[in-house]
Amino acid sequence: MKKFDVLIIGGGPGGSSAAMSLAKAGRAVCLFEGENIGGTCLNVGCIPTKYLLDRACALEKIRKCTKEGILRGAGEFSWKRIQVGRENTVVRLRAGLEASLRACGVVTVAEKATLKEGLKVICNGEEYCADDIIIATGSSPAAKVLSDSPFTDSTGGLSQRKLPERLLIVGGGVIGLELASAYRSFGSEVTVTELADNILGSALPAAARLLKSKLEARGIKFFCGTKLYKIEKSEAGITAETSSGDFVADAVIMANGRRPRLDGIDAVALGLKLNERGGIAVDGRMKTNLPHVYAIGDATGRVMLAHAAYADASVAAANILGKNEVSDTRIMPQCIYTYPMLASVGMTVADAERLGIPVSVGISDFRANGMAVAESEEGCVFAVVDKRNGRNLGFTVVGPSACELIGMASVAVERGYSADDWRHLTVAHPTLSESIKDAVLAANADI
Amino acid sequence: MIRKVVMPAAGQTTDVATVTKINVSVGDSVKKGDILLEVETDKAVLPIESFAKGFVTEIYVSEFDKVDAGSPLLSIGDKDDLNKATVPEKMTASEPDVKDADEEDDFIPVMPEKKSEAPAAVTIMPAEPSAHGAVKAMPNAKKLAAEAGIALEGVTPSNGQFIKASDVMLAIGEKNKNIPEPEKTIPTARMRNTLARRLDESAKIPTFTMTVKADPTAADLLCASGEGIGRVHLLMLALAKLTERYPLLRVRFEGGVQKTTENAVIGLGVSAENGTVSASVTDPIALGIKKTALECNKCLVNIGKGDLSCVGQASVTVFDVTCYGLESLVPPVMIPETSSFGLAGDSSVMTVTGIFDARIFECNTAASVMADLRSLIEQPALMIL
Ligand SMILES: Cc1cc2nc3c(=O)[nH]c(=O)nc-3n(C[C@H](O)[C@H](O)[C@H](O)COP(=O)(O)OP(=O)(O)OC[C@H]3O[C@@H](n4cnc5c(N)ncnc54)[C@H](O)[C@@H]3O)c2cc1C
Repeated sequence: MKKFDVLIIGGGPGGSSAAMSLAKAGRAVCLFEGENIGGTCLNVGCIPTKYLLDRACALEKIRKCTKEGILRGAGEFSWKRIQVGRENTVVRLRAGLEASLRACGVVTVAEKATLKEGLKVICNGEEYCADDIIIATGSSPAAKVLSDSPFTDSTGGLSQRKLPERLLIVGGGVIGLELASAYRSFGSEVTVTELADNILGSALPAAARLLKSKLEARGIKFFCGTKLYKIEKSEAGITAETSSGDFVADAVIMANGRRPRLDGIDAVALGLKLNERGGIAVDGRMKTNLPHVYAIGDATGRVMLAHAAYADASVAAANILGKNEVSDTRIMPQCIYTYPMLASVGMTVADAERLGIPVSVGISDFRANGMAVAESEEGCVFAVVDKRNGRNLGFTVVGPSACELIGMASVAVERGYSADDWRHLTVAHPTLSESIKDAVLAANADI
Repeated sequence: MIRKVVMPAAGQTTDVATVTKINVSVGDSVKKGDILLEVETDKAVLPIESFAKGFVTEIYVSEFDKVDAGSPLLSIGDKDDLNKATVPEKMTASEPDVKDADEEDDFIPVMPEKKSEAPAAVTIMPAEPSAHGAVKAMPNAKKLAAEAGIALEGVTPSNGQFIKASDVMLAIGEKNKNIPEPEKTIPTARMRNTLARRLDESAKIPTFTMTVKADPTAADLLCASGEGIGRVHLLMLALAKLTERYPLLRVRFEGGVQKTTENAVIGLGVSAENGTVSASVTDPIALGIKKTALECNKCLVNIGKGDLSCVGQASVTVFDVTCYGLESLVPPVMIPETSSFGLAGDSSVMTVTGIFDARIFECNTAASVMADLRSLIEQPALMIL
């Protein structure tokens, strides 16, 4: 039996960051990863989608310059090279992460592991034990793709060998919208069906509507409130039967959500409590009902975002190291890297209303922002401000660099900035960030 | 030597054909005169024969692909060529063969190519009429029939097998022929009849309207900057500007197909002797407000003289009744256009009412158009951006 201080199952953002902080604090850590270090995020999630979206955005910029007559002819692009670039980006980051883990002294075992009772793990016939265990097994797509399925999931959606002329995406959540936006820029005719009445579920209804109209203006078609009945190969391509009629496409990507993944975790046998989302139930310290067993990231089925997994990892590691830390999810930026982007942090008007907080909303249109005009980009910032004291409660940004701008906005929400704080803060000119300040100053609070 | 078999020119009227049957596979040996595949045009089924003896080294098309005259269908070579040609087989693996980046690459134009047909898009069709038995039809035919309200059962497939879009088009033609001409008590000019029929069809489409009121201060300042410039010309410019942001404003919806006009062509509703026509101005943004006004005024004069040469296919049409000081005007949709705008108001307000084809526009898109229209009217400087 091999003895460590901490065993971690799953090497995604959650598992690998927990491993590094614990190893840096002097703990002997063993990390089990059955597929690829970096997990969903690095290999088939955040990173490869962002690569595609960045190149997609570049094409949009080229189109703009061509229309303005700056470029005489826009040239041609290679889908295959984009695919090569996507793969290379992933390989490069994975090598970097592997090196960092090694440098911290984390022992990694490249095999699937099984959690056993009594703080033990079996991997490759070998038994490992430790004082604490972290489950970071992540999540997998809700749609199961078999070799003869007429559809694919987000993973297959990233690596389409041929650019589909007609693409149907089932699911108007973040992943579906990002893929829709990218493929639209690459020239596909894109249709998105969504079961709910609005894209992005119930979060951010106003911003979601705005984003939808912007994406529609780019030619993406949306069918909300649409039930999917059947998908099959047909003469004309792949036919999807839905409550909004039949759709024929060359490729269908199922982006209908992700489920916590409990490979190697037999919850029933272990007596491990699950929550209503099918994830592992945890308290604010990331502790499960089993003593010294923690769970973090997508495996808990709470907020399925990489930075949520990092935050969980940090809390779990702190508690293992004997610090009494509780997770704080108030500041959980949500970013959608479509063209245009949508990013949000803190409270929306609806959130505030639910809590009975009187708010004022300040809006700053990018048409009044020198940088945005210079970039020929559109968008706006909404600032939600507590009417009574002017404190910043939340921000939503639609437009270029929204996902970067939200960083600055997060600080303002976290620190509870007021209009006065912003007035004293000098923001560089010309920058899109000025719009964050302008939005706050546009909100009229009773102060 | 590898030789390509290309799609022959099928006839004067046809330049596209559909591959209906492929009789050979890669590796098959063929001799001169063998029928390799069959393509179907709107007139006939054409067998494509082999012109040489050899082996099929590659097939570039699949069944139901559309092919133009001159496009390669397959290639024939000798046995050695066969081994060479099978190399790309590994490309059929589900993952792209990314390591092998140096092999031949298909480059895609960054600017979307102008397609001869409306973009194939993801086709929507109502659920299959399977309950009625086996009516085999191509998806675009089904879609077209559904939109035109034609039962597929009544359409005769010209190829005796399945119904094509062209068959449905024929049936639509027949159906329209059967519509009795309106009773004529006084002789009506043909143009008025045509316009009336179109308006009648226009009244049948589902629409919704939205009105915005804009402060005319900036617009009137602009109008004062040149002889003959009116608020309506600013509205035309604003709409042209918005077509960049909302390509839907450039959509013409005809025969179940959405076609986007290349440029923003803004029509101005003008009363001619025999009905209202749309005098169109192409790309007012490029022309600028002075030239747009000039163009419009020229058209007005010409139409008054009975010269309809400036009547064209517009993306949207605007109607102007500002001089009457009315509250608002809800114009008709000049189908196949999908939206129109009515301009009314008085010295203190500009009222713009948009009417939208509900099959094409979503309410919130239209609302966004209207809100942007107001911003542009109130701050014409934004149009420069
Ligand atoms: C297309 C896409 C785009 C996304 N974009 C973003 C984005 O832009 N921003 C963002 O914040 N989030 C994004 N996400 C979500 C993000 O990827 C996840 O929230 C994040 O990866 C969760 O991290 P994790 O560590 O909990 O799990 P994962 O990253 O899923 O990692 C879990 C790892 O555990 C391994 N594993 C599971 N069971 C075992 C076992 N028994 N033994 C050994 N190993 C095991 C798995 O192989 C996997 O590598 C995206 C997701 C997708 C699919």
